[in-house]
Amino acid sequence: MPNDINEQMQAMFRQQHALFRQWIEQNNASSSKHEFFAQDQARAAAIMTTHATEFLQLGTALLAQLKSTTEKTDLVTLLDLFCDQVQQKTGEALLSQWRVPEHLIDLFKTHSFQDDLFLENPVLKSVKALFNFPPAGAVHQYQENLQDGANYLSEYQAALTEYIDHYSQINLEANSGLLYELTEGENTIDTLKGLHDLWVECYEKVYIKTLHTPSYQKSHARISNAVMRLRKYSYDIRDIYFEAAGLATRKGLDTALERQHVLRKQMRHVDRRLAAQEEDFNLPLFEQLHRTVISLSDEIDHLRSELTTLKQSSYVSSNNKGTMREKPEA
Amino acid sequence: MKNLKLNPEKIEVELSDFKQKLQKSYQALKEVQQIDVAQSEYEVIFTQDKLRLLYFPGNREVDARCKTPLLITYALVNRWYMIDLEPERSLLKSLISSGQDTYVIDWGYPEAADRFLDLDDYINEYLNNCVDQVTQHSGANSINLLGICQGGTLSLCYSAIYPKKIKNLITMVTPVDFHTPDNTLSLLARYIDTDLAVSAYGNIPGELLNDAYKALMPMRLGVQKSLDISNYLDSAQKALSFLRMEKWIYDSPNQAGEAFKQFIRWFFQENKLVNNEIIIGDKPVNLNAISQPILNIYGAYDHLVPPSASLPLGKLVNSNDYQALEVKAGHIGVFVSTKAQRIVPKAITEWLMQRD
Repeated sequence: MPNDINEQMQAMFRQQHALFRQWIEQNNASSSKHEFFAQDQARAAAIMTTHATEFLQLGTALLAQLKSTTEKTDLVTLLDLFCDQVQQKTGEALLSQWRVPEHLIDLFKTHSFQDDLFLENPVLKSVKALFNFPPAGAVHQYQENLQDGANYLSEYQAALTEYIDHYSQINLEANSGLLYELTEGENTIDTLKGLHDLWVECYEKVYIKTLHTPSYQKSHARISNAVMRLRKYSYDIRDIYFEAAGLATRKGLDTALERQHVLRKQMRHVDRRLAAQEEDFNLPLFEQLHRTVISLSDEIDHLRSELTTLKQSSYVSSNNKGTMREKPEA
Repeated sequence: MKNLKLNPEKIEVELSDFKQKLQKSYQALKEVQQIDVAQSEYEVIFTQDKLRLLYFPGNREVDARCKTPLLITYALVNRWYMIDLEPERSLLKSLISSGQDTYVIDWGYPEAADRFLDLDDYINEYLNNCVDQVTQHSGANSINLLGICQGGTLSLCYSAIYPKKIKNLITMVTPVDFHTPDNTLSLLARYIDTDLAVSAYGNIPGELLNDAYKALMPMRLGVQKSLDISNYLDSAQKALSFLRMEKWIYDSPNQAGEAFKQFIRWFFQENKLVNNEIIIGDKPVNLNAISQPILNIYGAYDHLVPPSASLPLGKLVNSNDYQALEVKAGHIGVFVSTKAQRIVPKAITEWLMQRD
């Protein structure tokens, strides 16, 4: 495959990738049913394209080296090329996953802070940015806030460094595993896809082993907590300024929602208690009525039988009397 | 490197094939007109806040039908239509076809105002109301309850609190013991500051949970998945199947902050369920109170809820009629794989009929 064709092919995929990205962005801006559907398709296509472009780039580079007649083809160099690229991808994924919360970035942007320099020396940069804040509230409170912000950023940087160290180790061990499989393993790898799959297998094996170590679990939690703390901090700072400007704050809204929720729960409890009481109240009444009816019924039966007895005795007595009062003989 | 035999001609062909497959995949994706999921017809019989209770009448032409209604409760973290993703792979459709009157809880999408909803609200209020509604709507004295994943855990709590309302209980891919060594999701959640998470986010964004699931197999679900897509998207029908699944994966509702916090802390971090230490509202959850027949369905290759997390259930409940059913599939495969489609609906229907 001549180089110009490869370039054309890659250009085409880049173009398609950009097109799908644009498609997603357009659809994010609107919410009609049809466009939501298109967004699903676009997302799938974008996922496919992202890695496909890289796969082709890597494939082309490997191919160029393999076909090179001037340079001696060194498989170790090819493998290094492959490993460098996949490591770069895992690194990019990490930075994207654990980036500083967007609100905080916005905060720094308003103070002429360069995002691309952010990771170089976050503590110094952030402190500088925070000092540019127009103060709100008491001076000591302002200083405490600054101190907190600097501490959180410092913790974030330390947590990220520790976390990246774990991934460097995972990559290193995955590469060793790959090398082992390619030299000592049982399967022959003769395709680029096969090489990718083998690397994924080696990576996942090391990754899952690392994930089971308490040090990784703590490190994962540390970076998660550090990012969340920064996010919360950015909201808290915003609240201070909102409060100073007489605007509703997030904290205030949360308090209102919590109270509403507590009230709703209380109301449900009251409703349930009332329903139960009503049931309790209705039950004895019904039972009482039932008993009264039975007792009345018994009484009626009793009266009836008394009446019958009386009737019978009255009949007997009248008969007797009749006998006694026999018609006098004329 | 004796095993690395990269051949320029072969790679050239491979790249060319890959390009063709990609183009075909794009074409297939473009041909899809509509990503329609949850196609079984239903009636909404009850709503409360964001919740909807859906009624799917069973096929009346079936002679031997299960008379007891079935209520399905899905996890809060994903949408219920995984059980009705497409007509060819629908657990729900199979149950309805067997004559089973089925009710499904759609938990909805929590918003900012729902941030303080807790497990007491979900179990003692929403789930309890749904059970009462099903009882009332069907005229039955008790119901059969089927809980899926986190919904299974909630169903266990519910059955322990209100045992008289449940006739038979089915749990599917349900975590019970959260501290088994191979429960990687639990390992990742172990040291997370849940108070901080809720104060930083309010409701926990669904995307964060998706990232957490991906973090269990980052390369397999990242690079490998995307490079493999073009291998099977060779027709519009396959593209539609793929897009339906993608739609479900990314349709992750945000989680009500308080309920999420309690679930992570009590279940994932403190593993309280197996020790009977959970109290929902003012009601203790004692698994020993569950004496109903139980069918526990789990996936042999489930990486989210490994079998070791589901299987301890048998020893923790007081049921004399406990059965575990292994399906040779992963967490989602239990519902959508061809093999599971042949086994699972039939097993559920027969099991319920025998206990009706």
